[in-house]
Amino acid sequence: MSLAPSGDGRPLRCLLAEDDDLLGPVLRSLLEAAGYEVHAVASGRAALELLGRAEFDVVVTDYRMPLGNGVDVLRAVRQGSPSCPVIVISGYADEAVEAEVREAGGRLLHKPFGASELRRELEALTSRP
Amino acid sequence: MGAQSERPLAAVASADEVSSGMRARPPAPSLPEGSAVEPEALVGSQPSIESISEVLVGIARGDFGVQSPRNYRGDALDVLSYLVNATAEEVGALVRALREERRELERAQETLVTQGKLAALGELAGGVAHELNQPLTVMQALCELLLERPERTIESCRDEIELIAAAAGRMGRIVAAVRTFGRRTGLNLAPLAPRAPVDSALLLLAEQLRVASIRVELDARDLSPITGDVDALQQVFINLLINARDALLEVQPALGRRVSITIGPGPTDERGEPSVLYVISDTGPGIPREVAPRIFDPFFSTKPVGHGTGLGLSITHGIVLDHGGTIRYVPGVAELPGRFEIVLPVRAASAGGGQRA
Repeated sequence: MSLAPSGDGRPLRCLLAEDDDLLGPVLRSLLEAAGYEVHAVASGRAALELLGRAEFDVVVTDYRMPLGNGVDVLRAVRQGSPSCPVIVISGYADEAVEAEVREAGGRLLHKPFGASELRRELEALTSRP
Repeated sequence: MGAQSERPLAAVASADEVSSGMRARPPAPSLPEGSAVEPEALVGSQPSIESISEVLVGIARGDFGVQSPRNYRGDALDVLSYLVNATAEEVGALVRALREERRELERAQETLVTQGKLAALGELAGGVAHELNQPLTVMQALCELLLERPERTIESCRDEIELIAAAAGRMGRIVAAVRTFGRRTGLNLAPLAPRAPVDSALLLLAEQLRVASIRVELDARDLSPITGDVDALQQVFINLLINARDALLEVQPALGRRVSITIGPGPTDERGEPSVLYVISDTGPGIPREVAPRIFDPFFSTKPVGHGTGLGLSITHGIVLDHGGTIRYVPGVAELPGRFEIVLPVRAASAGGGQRA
């Protein structure tokens, strides 16, 4: 697995917000396998709390979660960090959701997706000059 | 005598002619042969009180084809014959038109029911697709991971394989939930104490509620029995209590996790039939206003994905309707929390459970 080190050599920090008890751990191991230091939460509110306390290099969040959805998380990230990549995962092939995520400055990843698809997205978003 | 000109819709218009002008006219038929409408049944050959009453009896029992013969003398029996014949034809035409209209209405209604079923199916399909996506993503991602590492032994892949199996298991449960949703068995109505389904739901959920530090306050008045299906109604309260439990898990235990259930007399309906009112509320965050109109839709859920099928309230709604009752969510205002109100008639009228898709 390729590590995803940041400029100063430490691994990239990823905030993962996913409430599903099955998909959450799987996403976590996918991200860890890709070399990320993963901080996982299971609700929108918990994600917002963590965002207030720590900085992240990338954020992966589910769209539909209890206590604040993925776009709430995305907007909160954008307030503090205009450039931090945010991937919003959604099972809805809904144009409104798609537009909402795009307008808020995030990338939408449709379920179901494979490990390689997530990695490609991450690589494209976190590649640095 | 087969030559009477009994054209149904012109009959009334020519009544004056019959009662006045016909008197002077010769009894011979004035219309050419063949243009006359043959009555289905002609009573006798001369108008008589009997032949006239036969027509009236025919009308009374819905047979509009009986006709009284005429002598075209314009006498009282002839005029009466003419009038009852015309009446029979007019009423017959009206009844036929009404029957046709009713058939058309029935056809339209069938179309509506079909459309409703199709809409529900569409809703189900969308919901199922979304629900299945989650475990599907898990399976797809893990399979890819495993395929990337062909050197790993089965034993070292145990965790991943178990997760794939769990995902497949969840897909199976989703399919089973859909099947249960589609299968609506008839209600098994019997007299029961209004609080019985609440008590049994609380009994079944006692452990879950205790683990979640939820206190239940039950205020049940002493009420006479109602007719209902205790199992189905128990399902109603289980669904509502599970929803309350899940909502209360969002609240810090120190702030108080409380469910309150009151059972009391409800409003009487337009026929004066009494009812029972159940009010269920909790100290959770409540259902957001923008979400409230959709909560009874199948597969609508605000619970974390994988924690609810989105069918609970939809099924609850169906069961209450089948009892001839109503259920609604009243959003909270200020200090008053949001609450579910269920009204069940004391005598359950099964309201066509088979109509639902």
